[in-house]
Amino acid sequence: MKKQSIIYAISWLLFSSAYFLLSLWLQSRGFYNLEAYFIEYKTILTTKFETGFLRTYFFTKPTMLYLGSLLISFIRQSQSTYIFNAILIGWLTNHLFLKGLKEKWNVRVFLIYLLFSPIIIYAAVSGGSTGMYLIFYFAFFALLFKYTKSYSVFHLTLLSLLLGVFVLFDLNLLKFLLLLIPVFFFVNFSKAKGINGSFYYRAAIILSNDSQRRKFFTGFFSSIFIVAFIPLMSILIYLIINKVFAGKFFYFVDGIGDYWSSYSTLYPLIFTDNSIWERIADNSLTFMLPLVFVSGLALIQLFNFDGSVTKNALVLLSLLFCYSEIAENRILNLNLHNLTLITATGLATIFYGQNLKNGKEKVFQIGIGLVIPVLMIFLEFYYFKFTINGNEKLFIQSVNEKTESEFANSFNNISSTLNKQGKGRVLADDAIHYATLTKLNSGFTWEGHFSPDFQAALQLPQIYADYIIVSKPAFLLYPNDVVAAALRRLDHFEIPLDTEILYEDEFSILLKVK
Amino acid sequence: MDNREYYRKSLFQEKGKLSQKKIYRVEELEKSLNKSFLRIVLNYGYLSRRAWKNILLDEGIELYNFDFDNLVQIPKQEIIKENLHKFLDALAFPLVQTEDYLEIVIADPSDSININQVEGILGQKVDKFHVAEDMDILKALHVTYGLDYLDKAVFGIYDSDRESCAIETFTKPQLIAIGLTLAVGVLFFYFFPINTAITLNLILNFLLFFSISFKFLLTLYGSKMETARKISKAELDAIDDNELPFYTILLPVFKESEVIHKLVWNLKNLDYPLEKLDIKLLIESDDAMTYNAVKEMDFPCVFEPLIIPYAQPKTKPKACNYGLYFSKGKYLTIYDAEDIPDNNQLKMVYALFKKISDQYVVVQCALNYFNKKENLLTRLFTLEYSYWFDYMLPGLDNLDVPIPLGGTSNHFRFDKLMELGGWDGFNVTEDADLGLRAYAKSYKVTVLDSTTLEEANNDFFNWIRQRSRWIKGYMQTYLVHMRNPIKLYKKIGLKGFFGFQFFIGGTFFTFLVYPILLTFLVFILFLHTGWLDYILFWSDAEISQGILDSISVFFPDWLVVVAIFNFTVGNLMMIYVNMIAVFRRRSYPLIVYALVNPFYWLMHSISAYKGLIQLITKPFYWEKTNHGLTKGSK
Repeated sequence: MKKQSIIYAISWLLFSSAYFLLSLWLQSRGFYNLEAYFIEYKTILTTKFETGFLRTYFFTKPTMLYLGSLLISFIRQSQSTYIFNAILIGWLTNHLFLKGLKEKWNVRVFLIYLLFSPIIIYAAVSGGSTGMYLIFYFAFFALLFKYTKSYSVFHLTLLSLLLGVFVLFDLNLLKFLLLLIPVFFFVNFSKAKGINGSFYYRAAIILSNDSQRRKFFTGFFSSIFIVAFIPLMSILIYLIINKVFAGKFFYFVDGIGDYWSSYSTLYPLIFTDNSIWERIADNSLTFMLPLVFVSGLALIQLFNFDGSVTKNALVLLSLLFCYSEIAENRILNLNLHNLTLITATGLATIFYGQNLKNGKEKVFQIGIGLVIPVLMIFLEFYYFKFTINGNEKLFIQSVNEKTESEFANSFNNISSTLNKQGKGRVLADDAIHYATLTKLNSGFTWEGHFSPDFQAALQLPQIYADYIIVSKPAFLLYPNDVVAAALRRLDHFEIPLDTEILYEDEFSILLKVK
Repeated sequence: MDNREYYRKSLFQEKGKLSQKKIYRVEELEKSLNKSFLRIVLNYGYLSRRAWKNILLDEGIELYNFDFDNLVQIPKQEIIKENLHKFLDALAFPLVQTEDYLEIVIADPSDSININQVEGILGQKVDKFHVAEDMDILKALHVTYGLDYLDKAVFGIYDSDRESCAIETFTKPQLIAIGLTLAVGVLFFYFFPINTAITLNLILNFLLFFSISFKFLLTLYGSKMETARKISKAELDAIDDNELPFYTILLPVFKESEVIHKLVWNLKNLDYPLEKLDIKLLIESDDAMTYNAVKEMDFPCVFEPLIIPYAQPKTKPKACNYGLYFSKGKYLTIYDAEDIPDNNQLKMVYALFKKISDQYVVVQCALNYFNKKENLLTRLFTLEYSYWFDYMLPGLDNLDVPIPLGGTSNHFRFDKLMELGGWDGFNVTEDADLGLRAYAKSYKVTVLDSTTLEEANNDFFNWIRQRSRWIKGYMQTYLVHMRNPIKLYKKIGLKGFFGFQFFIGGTFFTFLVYPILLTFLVFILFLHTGWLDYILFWSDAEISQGILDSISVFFPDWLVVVAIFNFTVGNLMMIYVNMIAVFRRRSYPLIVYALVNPFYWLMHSISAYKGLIQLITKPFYWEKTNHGLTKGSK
C-alpha cells in the first residue's frame, strides 16, 4: 500500500513536471494567456489593498483557479496558473494512466490518447481555466457513472459536494443539476427493491402499483433534493457573504465591481482574430465543426456497445448539453471551456462507464482500438486549426513555430519602459491593463478599480499619478477604458494636464505626468 | 412440612396441559442443559409462571412467602456460595440449617432430584421443605449468597485496573491542570482582555468547526462502505444449526413492566435454536414492578430471570457485570427490553466472528427505531441514530480508530469480555468506555450491517434525561482515558488518539460550546438589525450602534464573519449527514426533518449542561429512561 502510494506520488510529480516544462517551452515560443495574467493580477491585488481579498473573491471568475493559484503564488518563477494547471492535469493523467495499466486492452489502448491528446495537453499547459473545468467535468461524469452502478449514498454525496464546491466558484455550473434529473429518474427504476426483470418490466410494475409508485417518486425527488442540497446551500452561503460584506444579498450581480469580471468572457475577443467575425457572419452550421472534432472520443463509446445502456444515455446527454450551451452563444461558448465537457465524458466513459467485465480482447478489436485513439488525436489537432478562440489557436501556432504577438509586445514594452523608470504611481484602468501591471516591479504602485483613491485620481491625475496608461481605439476594450474617458473629459473641459509620451504603439500609450 | 407426594405427570401433564411429547422434550433438555425440569418449563416457553402458580395453589400448596429483608445465611454458607449455580438450577433455597436440621424452600415439589442434590451438596438430609415461586427462590438466593459476585460486579474494574475506573471523576493532576488553565486564562484576560477574548472565541469556533467537519468526513468515509456486505446470504444459509454455540443475551431492565410482553415476542422471533440461547432478564431486587410483572406473566416466557442484589451505584453496567457470572454463552450480547433485533442477527454475528481474527472481540450492530414517525422528537432521534450507526461507526471502523459501543446490540466474545473485566459499574456510558478499553488492549471492534429496532424516546423530558446521561458518560469516559494522555496515545496510536479527541471529546465539547457561541452571534446580529432601537422606542439614542461600538473590540467584524461561516457551514453539514442517513434507509419522508437539526442540537446542549452539572454533583447517578411510552409498533 505504501509502495503504491509512493509510486502514485512520484508518477504524479513526473507528469506534472513534464506538463510544466512543456508550458515553459511554449511560453518561450510566444504563447501567452490573458486569463493567466488576469488571475495573477488578482493574486497581487489580494494583499495590495485593505479589502483586497474579499473584493477580489467576488469578482474573479473562476474563483477556484484564483484560490488554487493563490496557494502556490509564492513560486515566482512562472505565473502560478501554469503550475496549478500542471498539478491538476498531472493528477488526472497520472490517475487514469495507472488505472488504465491495470485494465484490459480495450482500455489500455486509450492510454495513447491520454498521453497525446492535444486537448488534455492544452488544459495542462495553457495556464487558463480549461484544466479546472476538465477536472470538474471528468469528476462529475466519473461519479455519475459510479452512482449508476452502485446507487450508493457515498457517490451521491460526492456528486453533491463536487457541485457545491464548484458552484460556489462558478454559479453557471448549477445547470448540471438539470442534467441529473433524467439520470435519477431512470436510476430509480433500477433501485426498486424486490422487483426483478427488464427495465420495462420493472417500470411497468412500479408505475402500475400505488405503493411502488409513491415510493418511486419520493425516492426520485429525494435523490434530487439530496444532490441539490449542498450546491443550493453553497449559493446560500455565497449570498450571506454578499450580505455581510456588501450589505445586500445580490451584490455579486449588481455590485459596481461586477463589470470588471464581465471582461473575463471577452478573452477570445481581445485577441484580434478575423475568423471570429467570419464565423459570426456565417449563418450556416459550419460553426459546429469544432464540436464534431472533439466529440470523437465520446461518440465512439456509443458504438462500443457492451450492454451498458446507462453509458450511452449519459454520453448522449453530455453531447446534447454541450450543443445547447454552444447554440446559446456560439461565439463565447464555442471554446474548450465548454467542449472539454465532451472530452471529460469520453474519458469517464472509458475508465468508469464501461462494462469492463464484458470486454473482449480479440486481436482485431485491439487493432481497431489502436486506430481510434490516434484518429481522435488527429481530429483534435484539426479542432485547434479551426477554432475561433485566439488563445487556443495561439497554442497550436506556438507548437508549430515561434510566434510573436503585437498585442503581447505592447503590454511587455509598456511594462519594461515603466520598469526602467524605477518607481512611481501609475494611473490605469486595471480591468484592461492588468497584464501590464502584473509585470511591474515592486517600486510601482497604482490607482485602479480597487484602490481607494481611483475616482479622485481620474479627476486630478497630476496629483495622484506619475504615469498614465491609456488604451487606443485599436484595443478592443478601448470603449471601456475609464482612464481614457477621464482624459477625454479633462481635454473637453480644457483642464490642463501636462504629460509626455514615454511609449506608444497601436494599442496603448504610456504617458509621464510632468 | 408438607408430607404429600407430588408427581410430574399430575402437575405438568394433567394440570399444566403439557403434552407427553413436550415433557419428553423438556426431559431431553434437562439432561443436555443440566438444568432442573421446572427451570426449562418456565424459561423455555412451555408454561407460564402464573399457570404454574395456579397449579400449585390448585394442589392446595401454601406458597412460602420470604421475608427478604431478614434472610440470613446458613452456617454452611461457604458451600452454598461455591455451589450457587447448582442451587439456582435446582431452584432450592436452604432456609434453616443446623447440625442436625435442614429446612429448605423449593419451587418444584415433584422434582425429588433437586432435593437429593441439595442433600448431596450440604451433606445432610432435608428435614422440611416449603414450596415457593421460582422467582422468590431466585431472589432469595441472589440477595443472600450473591454478594461476592455483586462485589466483583461493582468493583471488578476498580480492583483490577484502577486507572480505568470512573469511580474517581477528576484525578488530582486533572484538577490541577484544570485549575492552572483557568488561572492562566484569568491572568491573560486581566492583562490582555481584548486579545484573550478574541483568541478564545476564535479557538472555540475552530474547534467547533473541526469537530463537526470530522463527523462529516467520518460519515462520508462510512458511506463509502455502505454497499459492502460483511456476511452474504449464502454464508448465512450455509450455517448448520448444530454447529451454533451457546449465545447469552443479557436483558437489563428497571421498572419496565410494560415492555415485558413485547420482549417475549421479540425474542421468540430470533432465528437461533432456543435451547442454545441463554437469555437472562436482569431485574434489580428492589424493582418490584418488573419483578411482579414477570411473576404474573400469563404466557410462557423464553428467558431466565436473574435478580440483582441491591447495591449502589444502581447502574446498567453493574447489572450486566453481575449477569456475566451466570452466563454460559460463547458469545454474549445485550438488548434492551423493547429491542427488536433482525431475526438473523445472532447467526450473522456468529458467521462474522468465525470469519474475522480473534483480535476482534466485539461486533456492534446498527440501531434504529420502530416508532420513528410518532412525533417530531422520534423523527429527529431516528435521523441521528441513522447517521450514527449507519455511517459514523462504520467510518470509525474503516479508519481503524476506537469505536464507542452503542448501548445495546453489541456482541462480545465472552472469554474476552471477561478478560477485559466487563463494564465499569461507575461509568454511565459503560459501553463507550468498554470500546476504548478494548482498543487500549490491542483488541478491535467492528460493525455489522444488521439492525436492531429500538423505541425512540417520544417525550421531551425523558429525552433530556437520557441524553444528559449519555453526555455525562462521554465526559466520564473522556476524563478516565485522559488521565494519562501520553499513555493513551501509546496504547491507541496517533489515529486512535485524534479519533478519541474528536469523537468522544468533540461530542460533548460541541454541545457545550454551541449555545455560547450561538448566543454571542445572535446577539450581535440582533444589534446589527437595529431592532433593539425599535423596541426601545421611547429613546432617541441609537442604542444598538452604541452597544456594537463598545463590544466591537471584543467581537471585530472579521470574527463575526468567521462565526457566521462556522455556524452556517457547520449546521449545514450536520443537516446533510442526517439527510443522507435516512435516505439510505429509504425513509424519504424524514429527510425534510433534518432541517430542524439545529434546534435538536440546542436540546443536546441543554442535556450537556445537565450532564455537566451531574458530573460534578452526582457522577454515578443513572438517569433512568422510561421505556414503553410509545404507541407505535414496527
